[in-house]
Amino acid sequence: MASPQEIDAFLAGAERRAFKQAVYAVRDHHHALDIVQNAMFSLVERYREKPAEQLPLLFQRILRNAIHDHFRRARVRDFWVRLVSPLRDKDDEPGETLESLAGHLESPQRDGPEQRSSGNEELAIIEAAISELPARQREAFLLRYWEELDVAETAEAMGCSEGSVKTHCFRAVAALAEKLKNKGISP
Amino acid sequence: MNEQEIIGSVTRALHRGTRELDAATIARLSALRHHALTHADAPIRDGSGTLAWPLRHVWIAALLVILLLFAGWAYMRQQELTSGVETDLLLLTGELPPGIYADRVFAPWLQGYRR
Repeated sequence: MASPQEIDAFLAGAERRAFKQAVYAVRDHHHALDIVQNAMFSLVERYREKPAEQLPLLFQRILRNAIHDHFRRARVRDFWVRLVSPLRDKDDEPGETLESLAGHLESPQRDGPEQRSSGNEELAIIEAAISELPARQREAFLLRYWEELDVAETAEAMGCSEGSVKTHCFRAVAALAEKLKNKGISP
Repeated sequence: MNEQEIIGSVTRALHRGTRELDAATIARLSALRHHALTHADAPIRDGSGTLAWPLRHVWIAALLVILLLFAGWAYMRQQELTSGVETDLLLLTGELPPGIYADRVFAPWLQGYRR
């Protein structure tokens, strides 16, 4: 069983990356904070009895579910808003679904002041490229290479096969290479 | 660019972005963590009070509403059928109360009922 100090230390080390993962997915600073808050609550509420070594994988699964819940709620909210607002111009106000947000890829970090510095242009391009990836590819890439989970752990966190993880990672790397090449960025 | 170079380049940049988060966000994350650790048992997420449950289980709530509406419709339909049977029995057995023939709307209603 993880002690409160162990949970605190784990979350302190994971919270910034979790926030960034949420931002890459939902592209909204405040919604990302809400998602991280929900994930932290779920971890402490439901899994504090688990051993400390299981926390990273559990937290990734919770975070992923929290992001999916966000999109599910947004779709439901968008459905009802559209239903009760038949006169609204749909072209002016797209909903917050994953699909409808696809047009805002060039400024995924618009709320973060850290993005305003010209010295962070390369970082902004790379983060935009990450946001532009299809959701499954982005999840696989971030879990496998950023969170440094192995293939089996990534598959468990994503709820898919190890083969799918390898495919998503391969496609993500290929897509990132293409995007970065087009932007003139080399390692 | 080979695969490992791309992965290394991207993850280094992502780590740098994480380190360079603005102070307000870092403070907010720290506060959220502290709050989660100290108030995890309090039911404060996703609304509160009577609306908390429907907000968390919107599809179940919608299904319950649909079931209630259907049950209401079925009850009304059953009432109509029962009422029709009772009226038929009264008409066929001639047990209508005499006062009903003085009602001005009874005769037109009876014409329509026979049709």
